[in-house]
Amino acid sequence: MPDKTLTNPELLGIHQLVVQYGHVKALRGVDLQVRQGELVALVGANGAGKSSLLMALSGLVPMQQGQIRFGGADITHWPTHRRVQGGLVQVAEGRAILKTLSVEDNLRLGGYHQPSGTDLQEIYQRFPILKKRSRQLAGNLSGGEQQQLAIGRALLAKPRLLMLDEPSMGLAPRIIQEIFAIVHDLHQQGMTLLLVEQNVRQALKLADQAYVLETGVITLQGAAQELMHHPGVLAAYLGG
Amino acid sequence: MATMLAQQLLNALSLGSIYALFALGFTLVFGILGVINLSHGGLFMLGAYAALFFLEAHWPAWIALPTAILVTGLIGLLIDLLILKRLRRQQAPHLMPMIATIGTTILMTSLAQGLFGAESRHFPLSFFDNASLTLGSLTLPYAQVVIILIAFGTMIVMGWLLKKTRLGIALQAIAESPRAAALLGIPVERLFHLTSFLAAILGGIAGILVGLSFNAISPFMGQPMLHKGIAAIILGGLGDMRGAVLGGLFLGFAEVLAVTYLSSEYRDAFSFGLLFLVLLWRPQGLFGATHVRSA
Ligand SMILES: Nc1ncnc2c1ncn2[C@@H]1O[C@H](COP(=O)(O)OP(=O)(O)O)[C@@H](O)[C@H]1O
Ligand SMILES: [Mg+2]
Repeated sequence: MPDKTLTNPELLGIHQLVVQYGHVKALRGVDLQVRQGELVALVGANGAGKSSLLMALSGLVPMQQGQIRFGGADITHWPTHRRVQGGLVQVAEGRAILKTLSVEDNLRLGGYHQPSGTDLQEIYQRFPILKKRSRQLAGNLSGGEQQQLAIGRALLAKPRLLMLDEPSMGLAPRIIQEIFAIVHDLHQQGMTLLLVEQNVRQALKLADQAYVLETGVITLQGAAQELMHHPGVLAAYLGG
Repeated sequence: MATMLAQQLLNALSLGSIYALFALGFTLVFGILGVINLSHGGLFMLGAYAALFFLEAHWPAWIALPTAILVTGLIGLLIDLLILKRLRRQQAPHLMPMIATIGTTILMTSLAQGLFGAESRHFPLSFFDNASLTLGSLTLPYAQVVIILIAFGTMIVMGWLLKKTRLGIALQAIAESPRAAALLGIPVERLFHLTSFLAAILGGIAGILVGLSFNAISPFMGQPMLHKGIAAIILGGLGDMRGAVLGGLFLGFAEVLAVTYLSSEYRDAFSFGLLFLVLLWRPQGLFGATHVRSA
């Protein structure tokens, strides 16, 4: 099945990105591209640098080198809030739920720079459990509910590109299926996504394009369907 | 006897409400910026001297006092822009902002001393002299009533701002996690500046109210106030806004109690002794849960 998004215009372009924490080089010159409407999977072992990449994209870790283009603009030096306002939105690893605030306040903050607030009902329709729990403290939600809250909150920011950092982490298998179904739906509805996962099989099944990151270097990239049958990927991530 | 008790309660309330106002600004910075701003006492003093300056320039009080408060807010903002912001960017360890803000306090104290002299001064306001409200057998000094109204009014406005507005909820988000807040598109740096500004305003108002209350201000008035502010926010539970207010009120009542039933020399010893006992019993403070902040 040929990837029908291959001719779409570029939305995100990363060029020679280097991120270093003291002496630890987390990313050593990464190139990556996401086209409009694509679901791109970024897979790799623990410590490979996946979260560092997303954090650099959000402007929350300093980059030593490289360039980030988003929607035609060079956003390399933009502060975090401006990137979010421009539509580059991340659901961070661990979900970054504000536990001391109510579910509804969390959602409202998702639309912080979009004060209309009319879209809340849309999110409640998509995630009915959030409506039921809207007055509760977000810290009291279960892991799966928190992940729905995190995604719903991110959607309220009107993303042009939604980055998800290991949305399935720490969830029960049944809940993981729900989360992947949400990701699939979003993609079907035209959302552009960059999905970081350790659940490699699932991620490659959903994705159009995929990248494999190993200790800060992209070692493989291509159509997700093809990578799924690549001997290196089979051996390292899909249990042979 | 009853009038005397009522008078003491009023004293406690006005003193406590000033402490509460001061402590609220102090804890606001701690809760949101995550730093102990030791120049809060200096800003408190500065508010009083800015008011003195404008009053002595014969500005009417209703212009002079708000201007003094605004000036104090701007100095608080300046401290954030020139010092705290840099330390944040370098992710400096906690001691650095403390030492830096001790420095700014020394600077402010010396400036006040140089410009206005080391002796204590008083506001050229005859307005409050001896004027009082009479309610039945109760005589309420005008100044005290005004102080209580201003202090509580300001705290109510701050409470509304923090709990009910979009901005306040964003500030609460930052207090829990600046990183998570930034990922939601909240302009965290800008709100840090705003917080420093608001906190300085609260400190400045407290300084002016003390000036009105005791009819005396001094370049050195910031230091003892800072100790009380620290005591109030520890009592209230660090970083907890409501706790800071209650801690401040508690301290006011403790002091008036000590002055009334012991003697004024034992005032601070009594209230700090009480603080010590409270902390033995509840290390997290009277009202606070342990304040946890993630990265
Ligand atoms: N804040 C940090 N300070 C120092 N080293 C870090 C920090 N964050 C991540 N690292 C290191 O950078 C490397 C990449 O980490 P990370 O981006 O979290 O990988 P992944 O998300 O793929 O598991 C690891 O070696 C990790 O220990
Ligand atoms: Mg990670």
